[in-house]
Amino acid sequence: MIINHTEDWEKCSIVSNFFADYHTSSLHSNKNEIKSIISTITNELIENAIKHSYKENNEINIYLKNLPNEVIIITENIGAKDKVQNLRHTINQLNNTDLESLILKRIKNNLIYNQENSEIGLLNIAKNFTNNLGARITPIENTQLSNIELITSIQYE
Amino acid sequence: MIIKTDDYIIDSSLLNKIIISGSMRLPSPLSYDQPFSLIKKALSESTDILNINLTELEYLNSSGITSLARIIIQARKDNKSLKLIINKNIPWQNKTLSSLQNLWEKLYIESN
Repeated sequence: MIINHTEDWEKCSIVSNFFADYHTSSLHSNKNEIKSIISTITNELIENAIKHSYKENNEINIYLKNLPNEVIIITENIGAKDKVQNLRHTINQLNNTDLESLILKRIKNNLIYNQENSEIGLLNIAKNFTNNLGARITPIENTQLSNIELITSIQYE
Repeated sequence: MIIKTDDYIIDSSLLNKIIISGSMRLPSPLSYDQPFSLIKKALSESTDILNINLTELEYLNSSGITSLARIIIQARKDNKSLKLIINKNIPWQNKTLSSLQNLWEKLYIESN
């Protein structure tokens, strides 16, 4: 899927809501809650993939895997070196026991340094929705670019 | 004043009260400056606790949560009290917003 960062931003939400509707269409219990969680997480992952892409019009891939009482969401994009370093730093912090303080610290830093891209969405996912959030970063030979896969699993009763 | 788009509505027409409904997933914290200017204005003009009703706000992305946090930090600077009225059946509200209380002791959260 190709999303132009400035012109097609609303497609992030459209795809996220579609994924959520698709996965929950056959559920009988907690449907609205699970739908809301899947849409929230998918949207943050897609937004993150776009913001970490090395070009505004870069293509990203999104996968939804339906399992019994579980959904796996994967986003894939190509990122430049600086974005990859920031992402790697954030992913390494996901095991931090005090994600709440980390999120608030980043919010304050954003305000002080007027930053726009802080990966608070990923930290929010890890803190509030799932323990299963990981990344696979694969350098692309003879370039300064890497393939970035973000993988998350949401399990429910 | 009311801002109304296809995706969301922000209503600040009553004193000390803001209602945000719909779905807000704007691209960056900067892009929230214009719609959230209503909240900042209501905060500066508030004569009592400013109630921000989010019970009909289905989605707010992390850029929006960051922008909301900036307003809370502004309220702390101005020593203004805020109350977020949240919907406990909307997961992101229930899970995410309570941590913002650590930003300001006069931020209250009411769940319905």
